[in-house]
Amino acid sequence: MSLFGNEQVYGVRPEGGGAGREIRVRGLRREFKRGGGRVHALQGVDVTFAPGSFTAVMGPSGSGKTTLLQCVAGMDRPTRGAVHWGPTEITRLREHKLARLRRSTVGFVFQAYNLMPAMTVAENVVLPTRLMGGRVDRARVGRVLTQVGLGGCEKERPGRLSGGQQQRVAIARALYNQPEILFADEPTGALDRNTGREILRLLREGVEEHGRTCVMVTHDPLAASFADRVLMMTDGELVEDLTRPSAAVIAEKLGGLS
Amino acid sequence: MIKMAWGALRTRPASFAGLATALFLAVSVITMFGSMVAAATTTEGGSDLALIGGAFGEIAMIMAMFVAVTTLGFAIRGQYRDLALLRTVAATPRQVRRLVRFQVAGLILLVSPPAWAAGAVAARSFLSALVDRGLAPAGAIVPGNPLPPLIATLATVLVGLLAAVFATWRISRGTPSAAMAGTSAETGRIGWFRTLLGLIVVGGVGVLCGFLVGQEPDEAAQAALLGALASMVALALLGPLPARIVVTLLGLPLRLLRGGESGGWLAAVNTRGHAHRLSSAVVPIALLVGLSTTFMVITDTMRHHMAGVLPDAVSDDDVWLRGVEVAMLALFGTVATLNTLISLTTARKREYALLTLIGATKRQLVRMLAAESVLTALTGVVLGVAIAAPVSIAFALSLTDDPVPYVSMGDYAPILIGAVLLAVTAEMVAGLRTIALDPATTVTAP
Repeated sequence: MSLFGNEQVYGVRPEGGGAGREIRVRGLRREFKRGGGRVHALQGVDVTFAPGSFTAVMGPSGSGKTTLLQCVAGMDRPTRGAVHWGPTEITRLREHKLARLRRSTVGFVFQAYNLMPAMTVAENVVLPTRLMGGRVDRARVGRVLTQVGLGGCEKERPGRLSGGQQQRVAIARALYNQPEILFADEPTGALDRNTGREILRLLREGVEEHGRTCVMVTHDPLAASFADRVLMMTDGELVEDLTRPSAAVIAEKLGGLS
Repeated sequence: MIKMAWGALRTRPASFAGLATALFLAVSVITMFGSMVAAATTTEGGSDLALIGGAFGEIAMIMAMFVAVTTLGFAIRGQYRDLALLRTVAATPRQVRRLVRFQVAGLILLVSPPAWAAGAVAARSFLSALVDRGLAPAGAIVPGNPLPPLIATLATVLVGLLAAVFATWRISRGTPSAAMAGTSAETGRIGWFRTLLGLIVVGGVGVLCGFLVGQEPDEAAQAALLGALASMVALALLGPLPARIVVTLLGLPLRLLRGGESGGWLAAVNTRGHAHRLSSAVVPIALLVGLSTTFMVITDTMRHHMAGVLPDAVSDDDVWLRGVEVAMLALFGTVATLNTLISLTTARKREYALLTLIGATKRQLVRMLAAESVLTALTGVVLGVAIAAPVSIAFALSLTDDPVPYVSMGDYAPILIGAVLLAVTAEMVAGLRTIALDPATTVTAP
């Protein structure tokens, strides 16, 4: 089965593969109020994600990797600093404009799937499109679900599916609109090795075949080895920037951090 | 968007059935008293009728709106997680607010026709009862006027939409990640605006109490009822704080029962730790108890004081009217209590499932549930009595120099016991059904 390789499935991307937006992050800081004090989740992060690249962000828990992803994806607002998607500084956008830009440009996959339990699989997949007021293409829903290995499951409810299947629904939802950028927060965190590997292959092929930019947070060296570039964080700062490292190298570097 | 709004209604029938009932009551009560006013304007010598309808109706309508608003806030909070999920898949804040507005307006329109009918029937039977007792001119009838039902629906929609603005405030502002975080951690803290509003209402109650001391009995009675309602609003606004204090005190004996199966300790810790949830559970019970107490105090103190002053027939009619009003308020209180306790308990299925998975026995859960429901009911009763106290004392002072109001225990005790039984039964039945669910599937459900 060819995943994402088939142009008929997704059509030709208007900008053409690889011509997407660069993501620029400058001086990013994020503080949280916890109890009486302040937690500095991000202490000044500068990084650029090239269009069509696949980056894994790693680090021990509490290192700020999820906060970084959420700020870069426009799900959270940094205390200071700027995030640009191409020419647009998303950190300056108001909430409703940002929501609109996000759903036309970005897909997001969560560790906890975040599916609506009351909706069927197909309804979940087209939810962002519905929110855009867009027309729902049933044939396309079927094709996307087939691509993630869930052909024929349109009418199922998420509660009846396994964890791996639910994550595939979430990926189908993220990919339905052919986003330029895909953010994934521990997408394999709740899955077994084999299922996780299939999910990663899906992400990888999206990058290779469609020039999609993918940024993924993970704590699993094997998952990170699917990426072109691996960033490592501790205490809210980037401390390593590795290009195509092997799982063994990642594990060794990661061991040095904690 | 409309389809999505109905989808949410369809999948949470329990939560929305309660809301539909509350909205139904609101529309019918306004229709009923609107019809009474219409009857007064078309009846000759109907000014007394307008007076009775107005005095009676104003409290009932405020109460109906209060119940509708709290139930609405509750139903919306029940779908916070879904709304936050919508935000994470890039629904705009405006879309989330619109979804909720559709639900509220749609539900009100849906319940309106039967509520109009119920309100019209209630107005007719109330009027004929008044005529039978000579409190309304013979031949007074409720005219077929389309205005009262229309006003009832419009007013309910307006109040409902306004309540929806506040209920969706937290979820539709800020970032999606903040919205998501807000659904998992209910801190029990209340914002400065709500605190300020609550304190203003408390101040208002104080002023009202001072005012009603110097009033004639009838005005003092109305003012006392309004004061009790305002105190309820203050409790609903400031809820978590007083609820937490009372439950900590009442929970002391339970906490000491650490030995054995420790269901009591678990319940006390659990209940105190969830001040926010607790205050939602306690408000309707306090509402039921607080208003009934105020009513009892007014009626009994007045009758006690007036004994021999007024002809028996007059005070009997008065008592009859108050009885109808108590029954009506008890109905509202019951609807609010059942609705709140059942949906709160059912919403905790994940928590019960987790406790089972980490080794709690079914017996421990049942004990915990029993202890919690008793604790919740007693907290509600204590707060209800506390709410009734200032206005009751002020009312007693308006009649006599004695600040101790007169209450007939024979009438009063059944109300307190009834409120406790109602609350405990509702929570136990809902809780036992929830415990019976399979814990493994409950925990892993999306």
